[in-house]
Amino acid sequence: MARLNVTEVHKRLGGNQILRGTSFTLEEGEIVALLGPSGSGKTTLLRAVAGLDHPDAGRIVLDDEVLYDGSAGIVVPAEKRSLGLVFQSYALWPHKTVFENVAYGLKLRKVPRNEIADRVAAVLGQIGLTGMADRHPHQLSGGQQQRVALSRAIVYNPRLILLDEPLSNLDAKLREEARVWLRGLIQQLRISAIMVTHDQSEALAIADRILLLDKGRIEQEATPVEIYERPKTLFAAEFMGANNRFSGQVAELKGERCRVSGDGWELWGRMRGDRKVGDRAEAIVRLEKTFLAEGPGENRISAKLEAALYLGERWDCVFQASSLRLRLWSPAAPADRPHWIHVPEGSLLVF
Amino acid sequence: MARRIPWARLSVVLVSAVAIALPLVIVIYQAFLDAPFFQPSAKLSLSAFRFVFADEDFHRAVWTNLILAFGMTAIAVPVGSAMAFLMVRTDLPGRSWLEPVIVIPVFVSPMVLGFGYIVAMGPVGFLTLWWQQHLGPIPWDIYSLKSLVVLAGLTHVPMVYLYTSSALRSLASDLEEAALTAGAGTARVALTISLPMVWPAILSSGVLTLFLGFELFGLPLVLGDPQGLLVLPTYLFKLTNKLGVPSYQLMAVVAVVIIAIAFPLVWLQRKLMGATSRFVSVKGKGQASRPLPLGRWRWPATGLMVLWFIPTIAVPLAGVFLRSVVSSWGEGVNLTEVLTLDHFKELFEYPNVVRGIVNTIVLAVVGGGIAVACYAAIGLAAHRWQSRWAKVLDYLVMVPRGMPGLIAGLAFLWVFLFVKPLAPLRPTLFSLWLAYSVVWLAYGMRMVSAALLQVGPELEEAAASAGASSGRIIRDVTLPLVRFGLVGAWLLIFCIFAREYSTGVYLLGPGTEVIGSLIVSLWGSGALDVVAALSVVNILLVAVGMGVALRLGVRLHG
Repeated sequence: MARLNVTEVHKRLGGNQILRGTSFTLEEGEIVALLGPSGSGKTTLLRAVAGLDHPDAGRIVLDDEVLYDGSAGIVVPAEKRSLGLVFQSYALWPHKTVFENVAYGLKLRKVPRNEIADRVAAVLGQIGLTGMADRHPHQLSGGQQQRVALSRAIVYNPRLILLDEPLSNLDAKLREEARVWLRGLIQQLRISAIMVTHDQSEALAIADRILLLDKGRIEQEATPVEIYERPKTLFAAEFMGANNRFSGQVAELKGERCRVSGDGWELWGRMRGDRKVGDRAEAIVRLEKTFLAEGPGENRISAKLEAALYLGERWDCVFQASSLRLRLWSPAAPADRPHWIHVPEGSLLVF
Repeated sequence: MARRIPWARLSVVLVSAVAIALPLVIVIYQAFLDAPFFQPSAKLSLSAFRFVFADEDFHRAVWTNLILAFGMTAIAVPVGSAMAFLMVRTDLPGRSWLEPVIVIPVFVSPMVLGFGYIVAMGPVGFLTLWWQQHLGPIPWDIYSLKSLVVLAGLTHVPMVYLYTSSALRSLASDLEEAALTAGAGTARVALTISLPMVWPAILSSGVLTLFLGFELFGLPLVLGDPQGLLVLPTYLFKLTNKLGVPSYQLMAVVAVVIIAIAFPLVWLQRKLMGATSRFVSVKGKGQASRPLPLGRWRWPATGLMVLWFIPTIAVPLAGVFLRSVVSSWGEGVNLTEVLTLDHFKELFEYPNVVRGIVNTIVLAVVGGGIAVACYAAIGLAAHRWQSRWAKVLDYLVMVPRGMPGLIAGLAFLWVFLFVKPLAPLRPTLFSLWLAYSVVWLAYGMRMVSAALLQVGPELEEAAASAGASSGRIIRDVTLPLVRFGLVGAWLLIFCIFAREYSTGVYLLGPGTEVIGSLIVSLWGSGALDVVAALSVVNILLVAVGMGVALRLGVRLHG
């Protein structure tokens, strides 16, 4: 059975309904990412699990222990939940050394002094901070601070580890390295983890499963591959990746195949929603699945080049096709002549 | 382009330097004379020092003062910082309306509080009588040193509270939440995370309390007198009559001793304040601060607040109000039968009391406004001035901090006697205004600089690059932006000036009566009915100022 069960959690904050009956589970050793735009309630959900915010209703159960039950009036305070939390700002205590920061949770658990020293040294070694124990947080780089924050959260073997935007304060290059390292570490520790992030590539890279939240509801819950390639809703399709969007009408339906048409264009795609012939529909295609073609053909649209921005490894091109504005990535600068844009039928998702 | 000499700024430096240094210089000069400075026979000498240092009473006063200062600090610091933590970082019930209540002792004259303690808890006080009737013998002696230390400690809790709470306010919640998730309870979080992080602020408020202990005048005057307990300022006050002739040189020596104790402490406190801001600049990502849950400690914590509130505020204020509306009191008197408003009517029979009330209002409203204007001028002179003169000004405004009101009043009396062109101003409100403004300079500057710091430098730089001169920038950008802060400063200075009592003691004369110094002198003459009524008037006056300030949302903390 699942380690963590969050059921129908509701939370209101100052007139705003932040969580509207959110439910999810977390399996043993699994990394789940709570992904969503700001205001989607993902941080509130994490804080509810941590016990820092209390929901108005719902139920949170960890390993058969009820942490929160709105109807039974059970609220286990944060300090009694034995979870590890890594803050976005790291929240390292500036008046304590690295050692004291990490040892704090062990000291509270009345671990003998020499065992504390051993365990802190072991964690710092595992995390690549050997020799830093006597430094104060301000003497560390951002990446090192992030590691100390993680050490502090895992040293006392918490039942769960919660990460609030753990990589967002690192610069871009460091962040990419930290992704690999963080996923590796969590797997090595065989610990279950919940990570809040607004950065989809972070979620895709680190998580085993992604919970996509919008306006306090779970929009889709799936593996990274599934959620990116087979989004269930328009919101999920649009939130992930960079996309072109076509607003039109369903002209023809053949099973899953459907033809969408608009002002001066028509394209075949896959029906992902429940639209019928004649309904208004939105079609989405990822930029990396939008191509330049040599000449006219099926699922191609004639377009005029508007702008091309050089991004180093590729060109980001904007085209104008009758009423549509389309973007695509091209390895070379497109010539200044009429173009055709090809959208593969399997990549066009219709909602 | 040739560097222009900033005449406007330099003249502000000069004027404030004269106003600050003159009284200080004159006190030190007088201490090294063997007679009052206006006597032609006065010569440089150490005889005054010899006399004072040989006086038994002086030794006792120093000793008592040390016990008082350290004792009250030992009470005020733990209670004040615990209350600051509870108020700022936890979900204590009633936090929003408690804050103005906590700072009441800052705005009520210690003379009034002391008077309140006596009428409530003295040998025939209201509370004493009630206690004896219902609970047996009273466990306190209001005139003992122990009571003085405890009451001074309790009334200085707000000082520690103000400094510690403003440091705690800038602490990021996530630092505490990190400890909470690591398994620490709220009390543990306070002791291992929150309070250690604001340690410099707590320490600096401790140093502040310590040196306020050497300035304490009203409480020891009222409570220490019957048993002959003297501290340095009351010793100084009693010296006036000791030899029968004006013994200015002896008073100056005591003043120099007090200043010599206060200055290093002021300097230390300032250093520590500097450390505070460096320490707490670690705020996380501007998220709102979330209160820590007190859980089952909710009610014990509330109990602590009430336990402080009753003896510190409720008892003395109730005593003063009650005393002002009864014609007689004591054992066997039924209070409901002796209720009267006669004492208030009596106030109008004394022309000097009427003048005192009018003077206090004028001084607090008009004088307070002019004082804030002067503070603003000093603040603006130093504002974004890359010069070592700005640093000089910065230190200069700290100097009056080390000069207690009583001594500053004495020093300004001498200034007006000594500097002949100023002599005609002595019996006018100007002399009082100058003394008040200098005494409260450091306090006022804190508020003004806090307001000026709120103005982002880029707003002024934008005006400069659009072509505005520095004068125009101040007029068009800076002043309009700090307007609200200055109004707030005016209201708080109004309260402070209305409350002030010790500065006016030596400047008291026909034409310069104010409520505060009148209470001191009427207390000495035993006119308790008038003192009670005047105290109530004083409290109401300050309450009006505080009410308006709170209404406008002026922050009472720095």
